[in-house]
Amino acid sequence: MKSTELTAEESTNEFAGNGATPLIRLEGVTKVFLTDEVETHALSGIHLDIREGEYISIAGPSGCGKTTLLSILGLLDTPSGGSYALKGNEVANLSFAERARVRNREIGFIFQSFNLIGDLSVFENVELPLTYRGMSAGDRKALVTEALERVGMAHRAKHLPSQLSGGQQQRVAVARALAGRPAILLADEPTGNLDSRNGEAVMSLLRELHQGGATICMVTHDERFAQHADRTVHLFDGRVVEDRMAA
Amino acid sequence: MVQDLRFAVRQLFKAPGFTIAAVTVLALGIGVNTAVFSLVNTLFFASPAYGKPHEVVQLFSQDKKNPKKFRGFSYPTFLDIRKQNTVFSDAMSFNLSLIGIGQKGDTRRAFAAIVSSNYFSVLGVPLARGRAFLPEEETPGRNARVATVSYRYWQKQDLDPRVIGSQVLINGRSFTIVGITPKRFTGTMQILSPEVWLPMSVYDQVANNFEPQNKTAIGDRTGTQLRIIGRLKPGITAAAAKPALEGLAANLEKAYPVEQKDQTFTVRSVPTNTVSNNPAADSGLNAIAPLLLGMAVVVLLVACLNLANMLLARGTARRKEIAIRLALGGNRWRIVRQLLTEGFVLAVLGGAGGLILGLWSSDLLVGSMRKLMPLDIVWLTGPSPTILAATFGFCLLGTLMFALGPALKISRTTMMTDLKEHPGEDVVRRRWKFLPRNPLVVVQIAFSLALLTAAALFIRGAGKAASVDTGLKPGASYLLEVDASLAGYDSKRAQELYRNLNQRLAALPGVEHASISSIIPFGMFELTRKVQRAGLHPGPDAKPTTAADGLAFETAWNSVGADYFSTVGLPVIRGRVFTEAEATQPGPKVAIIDEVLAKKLWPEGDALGQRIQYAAENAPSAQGSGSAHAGRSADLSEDEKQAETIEIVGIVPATRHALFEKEPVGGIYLPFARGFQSDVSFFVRFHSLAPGNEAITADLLRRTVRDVDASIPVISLRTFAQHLDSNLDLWLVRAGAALFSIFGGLALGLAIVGLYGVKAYSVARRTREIGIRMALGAKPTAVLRLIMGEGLLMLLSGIALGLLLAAATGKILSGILYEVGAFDPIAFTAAPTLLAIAALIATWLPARRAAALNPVEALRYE
Ligand SMILES: Nc1ncnc2c1ncn2[C@@H]1O[C@H](COP(=O)(O)OP(=O)(O)OP(=O)(O)O)[C@@H](O)[C@H]1O
Ligand SMILES: [Mg+2]
Repeated sequence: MKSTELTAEESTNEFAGNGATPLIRLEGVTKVFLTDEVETHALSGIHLDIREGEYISIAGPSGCGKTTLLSILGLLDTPSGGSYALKGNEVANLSFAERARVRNREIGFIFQSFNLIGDLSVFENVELPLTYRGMSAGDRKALVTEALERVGMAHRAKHLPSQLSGGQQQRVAVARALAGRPAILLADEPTGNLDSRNGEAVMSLLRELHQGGATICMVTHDERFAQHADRTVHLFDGRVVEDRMAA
Repeated sequence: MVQDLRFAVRQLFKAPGFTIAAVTVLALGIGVNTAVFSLVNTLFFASPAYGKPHEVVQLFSQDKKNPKKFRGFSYPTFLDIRKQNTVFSDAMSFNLSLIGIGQKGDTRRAFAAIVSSNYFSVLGVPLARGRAFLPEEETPGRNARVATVSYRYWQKQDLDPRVIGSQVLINGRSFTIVGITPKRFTGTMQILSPEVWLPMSVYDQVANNFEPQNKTAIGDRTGTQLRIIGRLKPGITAAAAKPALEGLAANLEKAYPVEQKDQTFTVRSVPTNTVSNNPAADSGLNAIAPLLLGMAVVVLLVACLNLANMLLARGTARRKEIAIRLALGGNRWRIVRQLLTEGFVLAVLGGAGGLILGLWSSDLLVGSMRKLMPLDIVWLTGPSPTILAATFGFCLLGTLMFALGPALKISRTTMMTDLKEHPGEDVVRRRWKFLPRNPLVVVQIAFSLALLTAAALFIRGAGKAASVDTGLKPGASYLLEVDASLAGYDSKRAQELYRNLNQRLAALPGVEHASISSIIPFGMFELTRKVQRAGLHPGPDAKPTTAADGLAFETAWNSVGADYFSTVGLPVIRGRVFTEAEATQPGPKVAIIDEVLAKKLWPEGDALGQRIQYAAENAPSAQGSGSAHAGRSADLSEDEKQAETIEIVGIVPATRHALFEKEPVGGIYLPFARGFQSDVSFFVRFHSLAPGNEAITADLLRRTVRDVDASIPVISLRTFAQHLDSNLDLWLVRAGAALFSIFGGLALGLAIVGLYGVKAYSVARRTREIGIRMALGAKPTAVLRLIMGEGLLMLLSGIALGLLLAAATGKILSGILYEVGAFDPIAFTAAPTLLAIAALIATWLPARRAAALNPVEALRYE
């Protein structure tokens, strides 16, 4: 029904098919929500390749499908159509448990509202994905300590999230996302709940991580932060309308 | 305050689901308490339905040499006491007797109180209608055929005013009704009421067979038929009356050194659950009252814990509202008051539901009791002020128990975190993480396990009681109970009638054997006699230790027909059965004893062919008859005087005589002709009983009785299996099992609902956390494990604590359990298993829901 538009979008995706297998390849991904007999086309024919080491920022007006796209990238949600290959492997047919496994090993999430578990200490929060991986306590400790040091929160390891400021909480969330050395960090408006000073701090942290080789895909409204990325993808009404490399 | 109340009602209306759940939980908890309380209150605490009950005491005749021994009074002694005492404003005497009431065909058994003429005036009871007995209606020999009937009797006659002056047939004789007792009056006992009251002058005609040892005529000073109840003069206490009564006893002993030997008098409050010569007779039942109340309170406790949990959960959800109120300057006390008011409104609603539930269920209990009791049960339904007050008390107690804690806890929340945090996130640092999250649920589980184990112990007991082996193998037998004396027969004619009836029954088509028996095992009555080897008469101060020295043994007594042993399937081990002649005509003194008695009397030798005799009442005897029943001493009838000895002609296997018999007591059988009783049962053994033919068979048996004499009332007719099943002791055990099952079931249900609620609520509250965990790579099984694991921790701690409580409960109950150890392994396995299964399901359901959450939606959950 929307096939004519598909070809139009394809042309904007300059990097598709170039070079080695991309880390992530989305082809014609659509997402339709059905609520109360109303169909919402959150995503309509998304083509997107993400290569290792890239720092992508996704921008677009509210409701254009940014979060939906990130959920699909993070295997939290499944596309209604199209295909999604992660490291060259199609993820469509994975079971619940396998998807959980992939999320655990390959994906690191950073949320707008931090989403730390209030009951667990900073250390335990960061440790959680490693625990799900079945890693030994010693290995976990090493990785957690390393991650917390990287975000400068090692001295707060025993605190509860509620005892930290928002910026600190987000840094812990970043540590949690990167502790397991995932293939890609997915950040949905990581600065949305922070003041500009704390926002800057988190953004420069992401920048540092990127420089250290991490692949990052970040949703942001903020033009200033979008410029941190090498590449900006603009969504509008569930479609990629622009995809350009930073100058 | 009114504003608080209005707001509380509005709050509850806003959350109808919560309100309905809370009111239901409370209604169950309060209902059980109301039911148990109204029963216990009526049985033990309610003041009797007579005037100034604190002045009314029972007089007991106590043996000075053996202070545990009490006996009744003779009528002449009563007259002396009434006249000579200085402490009573007046004293009356009475006894209970089992009578046959009504027309030929539908004679039923009922209890009558045979009373002195001042009975009602001493009790301070004005009759509802008619008049009290006249002094001349009391005089022995006057034989005044007048009766007062109970209000219920009158109700059964549709409150017809013409009942006064009408005739009622009692034991086949016509009595004129002269009075009707008031509605609430139940005689000297609570709940259990005689149906008719008869004047003392008819004693010898009416009290013919109920207590056969009291064959002494009413005018005889050696009798012990009567209980005496006196009304103390105003200002005289029981303690103050003591010296005067002891002096009176001493005077009477001087005047009648034989009859009053060693007797002294003492007064105690009137036992309300028995009619007895022994002031301690009530204590057995009294022990049960706190037990029942205790169990019921535990159910209320579990209900309240449950509710406290619900309120806490609701409070957590309302934390933001409360934090805002605090932020706006509301003080903490106001908020506690508001929450308590809400709790109280819930409690009152629950109390109203509980009251209805409680009254309804106690009616149910009484109804089931009524079917089995020959006594009239006067159970006034409807809320009495006491019950209302008690229910209100339970509401208050409930409010405190379930609402205060949460109110204090919720109102203490720090404003900061609550305004800042996501609603529903648990921000408290739990220092002891290995402890279960929700101690209230743990306590609920523990208490319900204790009750459940108690229920399991009782159910085990009931199971054992229902399948207890009597030792008899009567096959397809009917039991036909008749009492010719209720039709006015004397013993000589009755004897003849029974012989005739026995022959006819045996000759019926399909009948294999038929035999008369005066006592049926597991029946309402037992008779016991002391027997010893013949020719030995140890003095009252002798202390024989062996049967050879003259030690006597309390033994179960029965008198039976010639065909009895083949009818009930008891093989004769040695010797022979009674001949037809022995069974029907007084002849040589012979007896058959069971192995147990044989072993006791002749531990080494052979009892067969030996001679025994009845021992004197006060003869030294072996202790521990093992029978919990108040066995009555059998009749020393006619020519059976102590000096005469009885030859043992046969030895049969031992049988069980009563459900509550701890060890076989030994038994002696006499030929029926030598041990006549007017109330007898015929075992009628058929070759086989085709199912579905019960009505026809019963009709055949009834017709046979009618053919012999249409005026003979058939008191009961049922198969032996039905007889065992309707045994009053078994009912008691079953009622215990049912009651505790209800307690245990309710507590289990509440605890499981509580556990489910807590888990479901926690899953809802932690939806976002679960989403986060899923995003971080938690597999569905990991989520399932997370929720189940926490539930399991609660369950295991609850079971551990519960087993301790259960052990304590078992210990407390051990006295009233039927043949079940306090730590019965089956009960102690079954109860936790049942609890664990239910609890696992209750945690699995929310856990499964958690595992199936959509991570995207869960993350969005606020
Ligand atoms: N679970 C859902 N059910 C129905 N519709 C949904 C659901 N999730 C998202 N949508 C719809 O899909 C569209 C895209 O939503 P999405 O959350 O991806 O937007 P967004 O670009 O992240 O917006 P914002 O910048 O405000 O976060 C919206 O129209 C939204 O209403
Ligand atoms: Mg979004």
